[in-house]
Amino acid sequence: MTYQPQNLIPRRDPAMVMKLARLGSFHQSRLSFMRILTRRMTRENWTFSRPVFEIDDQGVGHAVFCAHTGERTYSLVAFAHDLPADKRSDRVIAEAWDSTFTLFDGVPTADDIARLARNVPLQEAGRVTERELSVSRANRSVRLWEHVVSHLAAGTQPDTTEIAKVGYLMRTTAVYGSGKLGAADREQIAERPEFSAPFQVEMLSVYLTRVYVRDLVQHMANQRGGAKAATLAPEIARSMGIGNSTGLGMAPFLLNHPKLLNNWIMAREEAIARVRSLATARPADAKLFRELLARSVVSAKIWHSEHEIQRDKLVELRRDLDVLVARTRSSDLVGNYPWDHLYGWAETHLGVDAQECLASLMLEPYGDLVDPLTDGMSDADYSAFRIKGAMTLAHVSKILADRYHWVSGIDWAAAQNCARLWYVSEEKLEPRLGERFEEPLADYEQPLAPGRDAAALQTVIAGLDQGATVAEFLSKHPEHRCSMRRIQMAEHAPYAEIRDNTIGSDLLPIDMLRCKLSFFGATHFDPRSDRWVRICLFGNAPFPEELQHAKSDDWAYPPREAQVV
Amino acid sequence: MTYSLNEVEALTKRAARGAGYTWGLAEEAGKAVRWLSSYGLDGAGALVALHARKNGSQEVDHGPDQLAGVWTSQSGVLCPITTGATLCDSALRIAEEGVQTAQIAYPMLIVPFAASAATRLGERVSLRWASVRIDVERDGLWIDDPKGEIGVPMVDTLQCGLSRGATGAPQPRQSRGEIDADVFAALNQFAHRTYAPSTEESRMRGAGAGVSDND
Repeated sequence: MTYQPQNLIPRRDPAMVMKLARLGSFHQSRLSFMRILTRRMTRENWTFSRPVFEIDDQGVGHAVFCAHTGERTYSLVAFAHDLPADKRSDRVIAEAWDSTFTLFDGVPTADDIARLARNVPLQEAGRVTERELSVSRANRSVRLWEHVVSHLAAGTQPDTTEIAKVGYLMRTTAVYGSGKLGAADREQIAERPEFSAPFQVEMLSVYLTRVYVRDLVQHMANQRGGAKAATLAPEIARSMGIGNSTGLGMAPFLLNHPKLLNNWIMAREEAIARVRSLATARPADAKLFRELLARSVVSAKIWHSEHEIQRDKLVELRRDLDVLVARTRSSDLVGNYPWDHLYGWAETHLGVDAQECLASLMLEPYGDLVDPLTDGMSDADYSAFRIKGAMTLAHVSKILADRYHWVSGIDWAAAQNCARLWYVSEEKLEPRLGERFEEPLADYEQPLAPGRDAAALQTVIAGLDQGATVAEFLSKHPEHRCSMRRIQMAEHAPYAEIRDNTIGSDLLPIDMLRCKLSFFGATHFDPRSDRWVRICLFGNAPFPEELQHAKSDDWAYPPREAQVV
Repeated sequence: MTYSLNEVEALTKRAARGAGYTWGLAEEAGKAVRWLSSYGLDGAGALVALHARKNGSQEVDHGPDQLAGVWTSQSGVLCPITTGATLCDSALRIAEEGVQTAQIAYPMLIVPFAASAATRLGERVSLRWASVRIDVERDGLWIDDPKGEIGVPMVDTLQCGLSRGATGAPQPRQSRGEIDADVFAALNQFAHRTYAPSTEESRMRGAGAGVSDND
């Protein structure tokens, strides 16, 4: 989407924003999809129920968790399994899980549940229908699960240090929506207000999964401990989120949905520009900012990763946040365009990670300016797919000059700049990244190097009559059709394209994963390699019975007293 | 079995790529078959039949050699996907002078492209071949097919121009795509050509495994 320029301070330059190192340093914000959902649930007084909980003493069975919006009901149908340890894997290629789920549109009948019981536990090998909106699965954190069950069974609370080390009892390893495995297409539900923002089905499914996990761990402790079992303390339960293990599949998603990516980034950039354009801040706004900055410092302290890239980034982020705290002590943050001055200072004094943390934090006091931007974050503009055939090549050259000038700075023939390629494995269609010069994969390459392809197109059309039309050009050069579509899309979507090499030897796919996951609202990114990452969703979020007492939606920032381990 | 329209599109796109189209045309094939499915028309079956036919001959994915005059291909029969993409790219030509093609395979597959052109033009567009007359606009499809020739494998000529009037109630849309089991299997066979064989090396390196994920 586009906005009329009305701010004193313009949106940040896409040439700066759309670099992988910056996208890979994004933080959650008011615009994150989880927070959009919890704000709506509170605002609209959603209610929740658990009509079915038929799980035996071995932890096998099923349960149903309903969210009632007022207009409609959505039900998470959860299947609990007894999974042998050697079958437990986060990979897409796994074939069994501790728990499997579907989000049902309405309240399922016994027949529906019987049908789902034959299919949902099989995940990709099963089929669902348009009554189902998502299909997902989760595995236990083996360590923490046993710790919590055994402590509660013995009548004591689990050790909060152990809880803080992991942060969740189960992690989802895939959440499929949008018509996957036979589920309803997004187009069927996109008109419903509760699903108009991106990924709301998936976020609702994960939110209800967190309730299921809390109830299941309590059930198992009760089975084991009988009358002496303790009830999990609400503040400990609340501190835990749902883990998520995300692999390479998310990276192609960003490249395959350029308009959607543009709309997400555009919303955040517009929000940043609006706040930077404020001439003054109210003292209460400055106070809230300082409070959430302090909680961001705590968040960075409890964020752990064994991965060396992330460890280094964390050291810098923690140091920078301390510098930022000191800076905000010496400024009243009230007059003279306070946010623009603070951000401008950060650009020259802090690393990229802390700059992005600050950019998200500045938005917090300004729900009235920021939250309406969520309306533009979906992509319902199906016409963007259609090639504009009457456009001249001169016009295409101008778009290339405006939006793709960065591609000429890369020598695409050099081995290190095309060392990688994206492909799909026949093994459960897992997306993978290969070494072009070491593995026989070139025939299987996916079109996920827009920079290289734009450079090739630019070279070809440079030698042609600039008055010729795109229709004429593509009738002779169908191999450039994919690239031409992107280039035409980018004309009115400045943040559509990642302005970096996506097939170079130094590519870090986790940068793309973090960008997407930050818009989900994820925190505590923990890369397990350069191409998969674990995160936590809904940590510290209110449970259903707590939603109506939530005074604000700043749960994504941990409490100041959160345990640092 | 019924499939979500996203499944229809994703599988068809992969199958079209496996059948030899460029990525850009494979995307068009996916969108086209999705559109036909949403009107209950068997675009997937037509696409599979088109490629079964191609495997038996030397025909490839020919679009028109020239955009002026009657659209013909020196190399043989026009492909409806390639020609359809060109038709949509040439929406203004439809409005200004109309388009006529020479021999073209499975003309039903060109209908979604005419619909896309109609949307671009903000007009209603008609297609005619044999006894078939199709009218399309942004969100409407009208079919007049007295002799059941909408699915014919080949016609000698096809005409496309602005429509002057429509006929009866538009075709109803549906939210699911129906694909016969044998067509589905054939699509999967084509699509499979785009999947790399799995090796232990790719299993370990390609997705960044190697760290325990069972903790």
